[in-house]
This record gives sequence, structure tokens and C-alpha cells, in this order.
Amino acid sequence: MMEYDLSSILISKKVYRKKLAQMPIGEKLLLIEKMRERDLTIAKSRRNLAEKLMSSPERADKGGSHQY
Amino acid sequence: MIKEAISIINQMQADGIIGRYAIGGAIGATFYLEPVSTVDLDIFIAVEPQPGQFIISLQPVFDYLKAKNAVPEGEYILIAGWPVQFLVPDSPLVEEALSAAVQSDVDDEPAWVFRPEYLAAIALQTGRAKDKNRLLEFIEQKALDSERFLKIIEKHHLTNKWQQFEQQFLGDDNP
Repeated sequence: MMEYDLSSILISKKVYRKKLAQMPIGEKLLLIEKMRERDLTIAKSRRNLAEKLMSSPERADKGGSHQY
Repeated sequence: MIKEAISIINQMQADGIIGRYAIGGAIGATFYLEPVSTVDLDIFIAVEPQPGQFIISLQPVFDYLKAKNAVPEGEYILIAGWPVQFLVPDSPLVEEALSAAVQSDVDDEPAWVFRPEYLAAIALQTGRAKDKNRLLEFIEQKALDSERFLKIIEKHHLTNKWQQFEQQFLGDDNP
């Protein structure tokens, strides 16, 4: 059975984050470029979904949805 | 690519359009911390008012960049695919950060960047949730020279804010 040990997970996360911080800046910037591409794709898809939801007939029947 | 954008900014500096510059914000912090997602590149610049004028204008910067195929997009200008925001220091702290910026390099391309202690102090001064998170990152990664950091926050009257931050987030931890 797999054991769930939060403290070791937190330690391992900390070690990994330190490793990321110590990477050469050129590599870190490449990661940022990739993260940005991903974020822009997600944002575009979110906008498309929002437009779809706004124009769906169900939305009009239910009186709209809340946005936070 | 960010490196390409930095190269164009270096050229703009060499051509005398801007004086000193330094990378701040999330990209600036990435020089010292783990990379975090961001959509823009913040460049702090020193510009002098044009002869006969008292107000600083970024028009020469935009004109220069447009001639290099950069595209204005709202408050940003798109350079090498990256929205770049040019910012003029708006407080003595940021002015000092710009004067104290250090030269680093991105794959052999020189890049001026704020020192980590100034990035942390600016985050403390700005105080949004993401700034507090960045400050915590600097502390957790032990990326600050604590003596230098404490001198900066004392000089710029941020001691109370720092004490509140310590109380709220650090408990017994210190930078």
C-alpha cells in the first residue's frame, strides 16, 4: 500500500524548486516562454468557451451565470 | 524570444535612446528564483526630458522601436513576440534600484537586472498578493543579502510594512 507522507512531499517540492532556481538563466527563460505559450492557449480556449456559453440558449433560460 | 527583445533594448541603449535600464518584475526575479509564468517583460529605464521640455516622454523609445518592427499594443510594445512595458522609476526606491542594477547575461547577451534585495523591497512596497508571494520566494530560496535588504527597507521607510509582513507570513523565520 502506498504511504502518504506530506512532509516528505513538501521537502521534495522544496528541493525541486531550488533546483529550478539554480538553472542557468537562459534555460529558465526558455521555460517561461513555454509557460507563456501554454497560458495564451488556455486563455484563448477560455475566451472561446465563455463566448459559447454566453450565446447558448440554456444560459438565457436559466437567467445567466455568475462571474467572479 | 526574450533574449532577442533584450538584444534590441541593448541596441537602443547603445544608440543613446535610453540611459540605464534594468529588468524588473517576474522576469527580473527569475534571474534569482525559479521561473514563474508571466505575460510581459518589465523594463525600467532612465530617460531625460527632451531639450526644452520638462515632462518625460517615451515617444522617442516607441519611435525607435517601431522603426525596428516592434508593434505598439496598448500600454505595451511587442518586441520579438514579447509585450514589453517600459517604466520610468516612480519612487526613490525604484530610482536607487535602477542605479544599483547589476549586469548579468542571457546566453552571452548582456542584460541589466535589479539586484534581488531591490526586487524584494519593491515587492514589499507594492504589496499585492503576487508581490508578497515573490517576497516569500526570495526569503525561502535564501536569495537575499539580509543586511543589504534591511538597510534598503529602513532607508525607504518600509520598516513597518516589513514588520507586518514578518508577523503575517514568517513567524520565526528571518531573511
